[in-house]
Amino acid sequence: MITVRTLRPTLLVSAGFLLVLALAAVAAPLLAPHPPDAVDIDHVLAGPSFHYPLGTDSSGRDVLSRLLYGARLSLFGALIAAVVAVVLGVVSGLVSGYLGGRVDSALTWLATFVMSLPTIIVVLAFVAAVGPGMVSTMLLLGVLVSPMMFRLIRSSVKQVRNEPYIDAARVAGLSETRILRRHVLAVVLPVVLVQTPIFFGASLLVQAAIDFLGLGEPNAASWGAMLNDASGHIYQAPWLSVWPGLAVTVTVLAVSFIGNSLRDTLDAPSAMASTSPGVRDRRRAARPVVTTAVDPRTAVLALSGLSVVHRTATGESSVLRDVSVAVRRGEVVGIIGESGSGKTQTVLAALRLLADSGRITQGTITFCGRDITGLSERDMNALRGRRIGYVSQDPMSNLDPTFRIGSQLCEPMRVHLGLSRRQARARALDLLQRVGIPRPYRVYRSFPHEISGGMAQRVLIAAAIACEPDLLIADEPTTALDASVQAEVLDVLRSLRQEKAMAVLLATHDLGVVADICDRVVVMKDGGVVEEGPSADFFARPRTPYAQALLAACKRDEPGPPALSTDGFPSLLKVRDLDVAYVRPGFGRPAFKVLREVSLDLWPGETLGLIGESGSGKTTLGRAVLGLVNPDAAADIRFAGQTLTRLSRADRRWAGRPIQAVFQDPLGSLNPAMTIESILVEPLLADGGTLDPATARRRVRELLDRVHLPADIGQRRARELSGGQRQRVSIARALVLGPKLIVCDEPVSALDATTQAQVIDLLKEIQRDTGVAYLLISHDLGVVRTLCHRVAVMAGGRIVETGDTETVIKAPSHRHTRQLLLSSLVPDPREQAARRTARLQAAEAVRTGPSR
Amino acid sequence: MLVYLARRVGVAFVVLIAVTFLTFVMLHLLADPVREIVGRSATPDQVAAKRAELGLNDPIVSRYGSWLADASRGNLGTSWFTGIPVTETIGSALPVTVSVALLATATSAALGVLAGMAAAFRRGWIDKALQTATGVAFSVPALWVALLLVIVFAIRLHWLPATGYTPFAQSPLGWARSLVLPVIALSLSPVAAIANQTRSDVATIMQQDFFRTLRSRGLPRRRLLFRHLLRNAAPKTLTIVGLQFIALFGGTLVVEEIFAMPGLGIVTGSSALRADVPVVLGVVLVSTLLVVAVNLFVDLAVGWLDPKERQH
Repeated sequence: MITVRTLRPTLLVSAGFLLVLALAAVAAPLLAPHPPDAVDIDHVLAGPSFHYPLGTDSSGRDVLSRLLYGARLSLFGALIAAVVAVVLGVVSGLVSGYLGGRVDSALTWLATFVMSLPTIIVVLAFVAAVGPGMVSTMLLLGVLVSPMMFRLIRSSVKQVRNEPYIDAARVAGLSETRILRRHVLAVVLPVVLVQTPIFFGASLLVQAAIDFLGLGEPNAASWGAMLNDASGHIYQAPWLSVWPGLAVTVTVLAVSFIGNSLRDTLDAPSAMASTSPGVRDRRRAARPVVTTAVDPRTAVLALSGLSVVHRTATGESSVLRDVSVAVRRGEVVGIIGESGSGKTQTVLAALRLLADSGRITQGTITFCGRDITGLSERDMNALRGRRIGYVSQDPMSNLDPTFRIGSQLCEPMRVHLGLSRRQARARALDLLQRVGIPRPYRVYRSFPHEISGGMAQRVLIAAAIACEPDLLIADEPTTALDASVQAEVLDVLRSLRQEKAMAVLLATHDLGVVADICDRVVVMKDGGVVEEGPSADFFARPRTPYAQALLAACKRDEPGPPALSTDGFPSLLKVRDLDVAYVRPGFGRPAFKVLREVSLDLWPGETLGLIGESGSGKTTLGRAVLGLVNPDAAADIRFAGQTLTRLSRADRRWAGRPIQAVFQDPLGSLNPAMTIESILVEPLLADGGTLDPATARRRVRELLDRVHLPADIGQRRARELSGGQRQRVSIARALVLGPKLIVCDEPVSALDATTQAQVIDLLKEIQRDTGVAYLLISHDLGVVRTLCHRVAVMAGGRIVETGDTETVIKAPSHRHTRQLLLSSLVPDPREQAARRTARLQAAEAVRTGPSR
Repeated sequence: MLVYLARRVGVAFVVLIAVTFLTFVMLHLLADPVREIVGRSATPDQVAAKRAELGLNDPIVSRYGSWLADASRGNLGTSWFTGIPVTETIGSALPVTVSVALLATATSAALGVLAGMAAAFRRGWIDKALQTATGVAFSVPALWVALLLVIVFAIRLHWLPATGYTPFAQSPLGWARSLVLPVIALSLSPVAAIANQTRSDVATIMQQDFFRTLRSRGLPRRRLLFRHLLRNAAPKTLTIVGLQFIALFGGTLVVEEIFAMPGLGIVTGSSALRADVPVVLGVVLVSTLLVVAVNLFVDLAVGWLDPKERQH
């Protein structure tokens, strides 16, 4: 990975200096003009001369010679300390991070303990016991600083352990030692490379202090001892400290340069990577198809011909081109498009909150008739929060974790409206109630981590509307939420629009949201607007091919495959009485049950969909089938008649090989350091590596072809691929071992609608050709409907309903299923309105119905 | 909260016992200063008598027990070489070391946090300058800086005293003047460490979603900086300041040597080299006590600052 070309000159100079220094230290007996301890009584504290190039010290010893001999001691000593620290730290860090549990707690405690000791005092006590000496003190120093290394290694191992690609490697049947070697060490090695020089430098500094205090090697020439001599004769020979001082400083600087350049080299993203959502294409946008003309002067917000560029490492890339969007009073305008189409950039540009690298190059932003394109930050702040509210995506990360909800809600009101503490509080509580929070005071007093995602999103809406703005800008406000919460949040937005005639600009990728709430739609592609018009027109008659494709991709109306007749066949997967509990950290806390008495059957060649809200246990069920979580003792999981529970680790690994997986996060489930080819070959090598390389490569080519990827993709790495390509690679990996069952955990939810449709087709095609069975976990009813023969509905860790897909969707029998169906949005305004009415009626019926 | 506090204090106590016990055992097993005390010409009888007098023939655990019992009553014994009570020696040296270490910590915390925040918030040349300066500051040994400061400001310019320590009670101005150079020399590396940490923390926080959301509410810049950024960066900053204090405490010993200040450094250096067990033990006890107290304070403060921690 490190090529000579990427090395910086500072690295070469530093490495060169250290090399020369090390050679000089080794060759000190040859190079030094005098022995280090040769005393010349006639030339005490002499200045530089031919005989003594750098002068002499207080005993008349040659400074240059002592400097050279001192280098031996200093470099060797620092090396000892650094090696001890790195070896101890890496070994304990690996053990602690990988094993976790008690070992981890014990080692972490020990590390904290050692770190809390004052180094020099411990060295002093140690010297008092064993006497001064270089090797012993440096060994001790190494032990004392090893906890720093331990911490770094432990945290990076912990991080890797949670990566989906480690799960993928387990599912592929790789042994723990192999995973540790191939995947974990690859992450640890760069840390060691970068940190070793830093530890070396730090040791050198401490060593100088130790020698200065006379605790190191007695009577030997060392840089620290030379500084001590200089300090004792500071009046007579002030220059004496310069040489040893410089020697220490320059050496440590050189070492730290090496550490820094290594870090920069290893951190630098590959030049091939192009994951930034920016658009490099600089063509002028085609004229958008516009069916409603809004006069910018009467609009609340109008962007006219707006262009935005971002500064990147390779120049400027244009992210918005000639974008015009207008929002009138009381109107909800939706911006739709795939990821990277410029929705978020448009929204941020309207708020003038582009990242530091972003710049508006053309066009104007008008707010209530006033041009705010070049408004100062101070004037902008008078509008933000006061007249323009903003609701972001991902509610949990958008609240300041260190302040209570109440304080964050009151802040804009106190700043903008000058309300007193008490007034702001009364109004905040009122707002919380308005956005549908049942116990406002409790939420008011809570910290963000104490409330759920749905609550947090309502809080964000409450904060955005606190000062009754004229315009609300919302970026994917419901994407992170469950269907039922999403529906309620949209209800809140709808009522705000009706009561306050608020204008709303809403960016979303979900056409169901558009169908539910938007009056007008702006379709974006590659940073430009391609189509604009009333939402009803868009759904009835999309004009541009792009809009048509978007709509077609998410209108999967075709009914799914009919249920297979399974009478008389033995099931492929049989799950009985599956309970899974997570042990909570800390003593005496009860385990948390995520699955309760789950039983299901899955037949060969069948697709079973698992649906339910987040936290209902879908993913845990999948992971239990894959052997990634341990079920409680009573559970029985049988695959093709053979039990998977109560097996040894190695047997479980072997028995689980016909069960493979495709995970949600396409990037995270592929090791970023490995080429696609080596990722795909890896499972083949797991059972002893009998496959010769040529056969393995041929298998990989076949597989890539199987998932419709070009063969040359094998040499690339995951971050150079698009989301759809990555997911195809994941599918190929699942196919390597010729599985009978693939657990697909939200396989398409991270993809754009058009890519989703392609991946779904691929999954269908593979099932048709190979007869593989799927356990499909999804929150998206559309996906489930097109793919699944049968569905199982989960709630609260149980399966509450199972049946043929069409039956469950048309005639749900369980309350949870009905709620799930009614809350899910359909990309059709008329049908969505009907569904909304039904949902509100059902909710009303529950509220007014007889209490049990 | 009370349970949490009690547990932390308990852990601190265990640390204190563990450190002193280990030191005690190590010193008594490995060091043999008796011959040094009685002199090289002493007869074996004299050595044996001295050993008995110092109580070196008793089992080690019971000796530790009686040392601990005495220590808990404030009696740390007397030096084996000078006969001066250890508490007296430490009592006169501690104020010097603590003054230097505390002042240096406070200085580096203030300067480091301000520099780090400025670099993260303003970017540009301030940031670049800070990066370079911290790189150099990490590499220069504090003791050399101290020597250079003495040469320039004391010997050449005569602005400040080169050596010595003036107690605060004697002359507050003299006290301050005697501390300026040691504190500057000591603060260099901690300022760099704190500034670096603050810079990267603040930069990380500024990139987080909630910071953009806060900006979207039109809050003034000062409020963002000193309320939200500082509050979010505080736990990590406090942790590193605590670690720097511990490191500084060790560094002070070196700087005291250069400025000839009668602090713990001078006391410990000489007694460690001749294995004056009671003095070394006393210094270990007092410094561990100090470090444990600082750690405890930092832990509690960080726990209080982090709402998620606060509940546990």
